[in-house]
Amino acid sequence: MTAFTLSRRTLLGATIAGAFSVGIRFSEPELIREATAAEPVPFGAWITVHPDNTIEIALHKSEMGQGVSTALPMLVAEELDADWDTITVRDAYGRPEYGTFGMQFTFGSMSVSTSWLPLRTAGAAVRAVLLEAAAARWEVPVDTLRTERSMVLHDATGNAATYGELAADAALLPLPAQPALKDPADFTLIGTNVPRRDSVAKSTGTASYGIDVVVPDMLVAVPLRPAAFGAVPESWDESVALAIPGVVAVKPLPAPGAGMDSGLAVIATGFWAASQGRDALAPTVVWTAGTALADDAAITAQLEALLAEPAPLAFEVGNPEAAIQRTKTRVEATYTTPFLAHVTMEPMSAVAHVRADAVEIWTGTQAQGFIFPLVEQLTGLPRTAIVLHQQYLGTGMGRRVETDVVADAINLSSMMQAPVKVIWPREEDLRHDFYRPATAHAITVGLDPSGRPFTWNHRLAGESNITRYAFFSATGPTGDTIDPMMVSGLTDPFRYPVPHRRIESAVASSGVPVGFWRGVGETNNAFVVESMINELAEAAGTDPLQYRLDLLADDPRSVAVLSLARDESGWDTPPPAGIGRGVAFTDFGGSRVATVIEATIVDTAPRILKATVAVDCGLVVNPVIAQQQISGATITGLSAALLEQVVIAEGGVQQRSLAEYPLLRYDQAPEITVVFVPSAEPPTGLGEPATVTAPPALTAALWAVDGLRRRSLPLR
Amino acid sequence: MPEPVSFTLNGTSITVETSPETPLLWVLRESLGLTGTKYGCGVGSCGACTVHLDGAPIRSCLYPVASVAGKAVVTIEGLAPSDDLHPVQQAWIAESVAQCGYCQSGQIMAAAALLAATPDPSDEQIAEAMSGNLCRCGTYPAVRRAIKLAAGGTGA
Repeated sequence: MTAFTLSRRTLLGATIAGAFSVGIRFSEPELIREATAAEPVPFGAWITVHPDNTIEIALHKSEMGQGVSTALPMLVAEELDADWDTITVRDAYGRPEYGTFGMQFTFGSMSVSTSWLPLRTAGAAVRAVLLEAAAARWEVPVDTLRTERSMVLHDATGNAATYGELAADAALLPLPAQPALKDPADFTLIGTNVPRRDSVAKSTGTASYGIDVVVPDMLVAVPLRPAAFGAVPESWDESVALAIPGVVAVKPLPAPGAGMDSGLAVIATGFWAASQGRDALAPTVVWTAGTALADDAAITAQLEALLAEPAPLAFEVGNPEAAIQRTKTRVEATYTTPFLAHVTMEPMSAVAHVRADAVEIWTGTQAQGFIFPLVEQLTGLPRTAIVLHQQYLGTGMGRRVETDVVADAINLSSMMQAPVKVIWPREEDLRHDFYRPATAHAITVGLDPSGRPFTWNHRLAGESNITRYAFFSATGPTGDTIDPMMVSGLTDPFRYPVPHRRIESAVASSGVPVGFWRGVGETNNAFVVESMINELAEAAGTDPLQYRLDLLADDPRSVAVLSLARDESGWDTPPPAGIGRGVAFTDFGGSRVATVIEATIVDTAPRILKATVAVDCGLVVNPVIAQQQISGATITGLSAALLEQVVIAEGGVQQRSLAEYPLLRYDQAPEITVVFVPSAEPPTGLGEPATVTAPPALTAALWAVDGLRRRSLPLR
Repeated sequence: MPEPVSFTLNGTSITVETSPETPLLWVLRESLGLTGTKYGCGVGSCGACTVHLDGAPIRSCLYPVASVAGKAVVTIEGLAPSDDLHPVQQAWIAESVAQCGYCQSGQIMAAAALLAATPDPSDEQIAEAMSGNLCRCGTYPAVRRAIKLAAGGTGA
């Protein structure tokens, strides 16, 4: 037991700081009294108008730093003419409107692009019925009214009513399905640097993540899973763990899903006792043999063997086999990429409270839509008995698409018949991740007499996500089962015009679990394609940025992005001696990104000096958040390129701590300039594209220093 | 065995009764309910658990609570001297540093300690002070701007 004395000042300080995070301001005490006298009025899936005139906006996406808790409400508030200072935002789930492709989730850089019309339409529709209600109340034509800061105004008479005062009347009117939307020229919120709604909470320590949640009478559990993938515990001595003060129980921990590892859990009154119990228990456990390939050498050998044989056909255009024979200049290369860990800053965590008739879950998840079926299956309770309390995500990166830690919490709460918080120690997080697949690529490109790619023959091998997520699979042109994400950016749309192209993809079976890592298949494929384009430019004797401009001349948006990168980076002014400059480009879901990296080599170590990133993502909803996304994604990509590699040894991940899995640090990060092409096109995604251009731009910059092509990552 | 350990927390004397080898991090988070200080690695590699011990930035995951007896601990919850936010927090908000935000308490505590000791730090001094704090979202350039803003510079 722990006793403590807490000062009033400390509590008061936390309360004051907490008030900042709520973001609600009641300027008039009278309004609060009115609020208790009437009911909030919901309008469809997205908007609830409260009698005190606060507007509550539903947030159907997860806030993991990408700014959706600010950018998405901006879309609603813009068309609604809501007072931004008095809106509130509520995490929402459980309605079909919150789904994308039928499921509610947050990945794939599509929150803003898929919300752009639905959320604006929702705001405009509610504004329309509020106007109608005011017109009826005041018996004036609706077109003599205007709206401003959550009020309807009639200038001729001076009549004014808050949305809260009109909401009950407006709720009786049908919401128009296709209300008129604003001309972008009339936007007052969209396109402006509205401060992030989460900045104050995240700068005062008051933002709540899954790991921070406290529920009365809660226990804390930590898992102990095998060092080798697929091993299961045969015997153990729980008495050594139970001897630690605070340890309550040791339980077998089921596999959270197919292909995932079971293990043991130590349950205690707090993390430290549980963690000490885990350390005591670990040496006593006898595990069965693992099921994965033994080490990196075996994995590499498997990938090489797959590359040596014909592989399932993912895509073909023209006649690449014949066309390659007609080319005189050919560039052949082999590229490899490693397994990567997500390393979310917040280790995996979730709280669950399973009762006989209801379940509550507190966690930060990217996969709201996946959690409910999982909990139904684990508990047998219906969807209506499950409550999810979404928390801030201490980094997403694709790791929180997975629900394994939620399954742990549900299973342990059921066993203990108490609320249980599960925290994975960092060692578990590193060793039981769903890794970015390691891949190997063999490519032969033939150039036409003008130096343009004429035929592109590309075979790759690596682990596939469709092993676990069969619904993502597709069928290739000759009937083979294909993982579209494994070959994304290689099939169609392909960024560069190549008349003859053949893509084969072989699925490896190392036993190392894989998943979705910020940028997914493109983290591998853009590195390979853009590196090849740099090699082709060399073979053609052309500047690599000009080579891309020539190939992409038919797409004005791509040309504009590359031209902006050229100007902003000073591309046409040669860098000082010893400094190299490299470029890479992507069109990722419609977002065009060109990254220019300046780097040098100190002794034998690469040093990144500067990054310039030009972007066309359509209309920029919030420039500061957009800049954060591009800058941060660039650093994520550079971290992977320079440092990151999951090492497999003895059938499992060798690294146990962040000391053994280096990430890019402050003193290794370059200055970054981000520039956007002005655009009125609908917005496209920003979370991932710049992640995938940074690595090939870096290796190209180093080539410019020393003439060495770096075809294997990481560089260290 | 639990023992009483007394220290000053955010300006107030407190006594906790806990096993003395428990890291300060977990006493703050679980015994005292101050969850602004974060667990990231448990081995002093990431800086998410940074607090001030007698004014110096330390990794609270590495300090048994007994080792802070009689000393002054300041956490993110106690950084601001009054109802106004600390200048570093204000700069953090002005520069929109935080993304996911999980590492930011540690970043802010490291920056505040730097500026308390070195009010107008050079780029090299900032790099030395901040390179122990990992950020997976890649906020480092914004961290630099915010520190320069808080130091009274232009943030350029």
